[in-house]
Amino acid sequence: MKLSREDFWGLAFRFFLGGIFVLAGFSKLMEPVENFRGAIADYQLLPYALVPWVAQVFPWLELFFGFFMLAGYLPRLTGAVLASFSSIFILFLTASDKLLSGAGQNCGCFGQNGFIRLTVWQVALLDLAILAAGIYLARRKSFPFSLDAWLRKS
Amino acid sequence: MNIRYVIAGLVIIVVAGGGMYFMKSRQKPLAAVSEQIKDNKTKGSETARITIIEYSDFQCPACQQSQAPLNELLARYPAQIRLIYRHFPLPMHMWAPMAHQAAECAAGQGKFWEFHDRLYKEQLAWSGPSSPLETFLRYAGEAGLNLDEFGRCLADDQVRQRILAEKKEGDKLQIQSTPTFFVNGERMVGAVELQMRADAFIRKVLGFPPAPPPPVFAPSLPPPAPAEAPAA
Repeated sequence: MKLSREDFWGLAFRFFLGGIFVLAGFSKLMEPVENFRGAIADYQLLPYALVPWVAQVFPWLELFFGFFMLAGYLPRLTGAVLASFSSIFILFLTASDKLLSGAGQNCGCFGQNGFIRLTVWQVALLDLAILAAGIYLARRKSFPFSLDAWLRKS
Repeated sequence: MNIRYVIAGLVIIVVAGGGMYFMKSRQKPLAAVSEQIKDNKTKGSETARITIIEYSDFQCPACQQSQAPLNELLARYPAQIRLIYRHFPLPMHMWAPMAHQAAECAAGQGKFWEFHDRLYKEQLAWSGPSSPLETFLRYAGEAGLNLDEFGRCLADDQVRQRILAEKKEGDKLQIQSTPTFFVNGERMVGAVELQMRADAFIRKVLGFPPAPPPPVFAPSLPPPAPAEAPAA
């Protein structure tokens, strides 16, 4: 099967988004939950009562939606969800003073102990790329080599 | 959406969740934080029922911010808290190794806490691009330290190794974000967590009636202290 240029980019963005979110969820889940909890609390943007819940649930959502995207399961919906996650991260970064004051700090996005340590500026750029890729995928019609395509055919 | 989609989604969730659960179950359990006192970087009563272990980095702004809620706790429960400091210099902070070595050298002469407080209070003053060595020597002089001994200690590799050993202990506890506190073994990461959780936890351990519920949002922490003009 020969891939068109659009299909190639669709596939590349799927693996990019899926890989990033699987890695982000995995690295947070392998650490004590308090590390991510502290990272969220430091943004001081959520009501504090929500912080423990978000710290428990969000890494699992990242992991599951990341795998959904890698497998090509409901890719348009998953792309929209991941783009909305990314919009929330961008909102967090811009609403907190981290972009201005924390250029050298770890964002906590891949866990505090992660082998990927990005500064808040680097992660802001990554979030913009994720947002663009998520919107692109949410608007696409066909997804070759995806579970979605297989489920439609069978 | 038909049933095949639902089943496919559930299969992905079960496989990914099961795989993650398997990986977590094979992970080595975290070592318990050691409350052993190895040096004089401790304050408070030895018989205190609450032990706070602070892993922090002198050049980290969040560590500087956490000093206010930490000092509030120490003032509120003066006889019940013992504080133990552990070095955790982060690689991203250029002058942290020197600051930690200077503080360890001050500890050798019994002046750790004076040096510790000054490093945080004037963090902005010595965190700039130029070497803070002279500033640290000035702090040492003003704290009444023996400067010859302090100078020798700053170059001593054994002291550096002691600091690295403390950092390694922290690595084993999966700390890489500072400040991380252990309040009777309960991990609290960052200044906000300490501010929002520590008081209620301490009251519970001590058997005090619970404090009024915390505010919905964490109150703002004090901004970093303004830099003191360096001496001419």
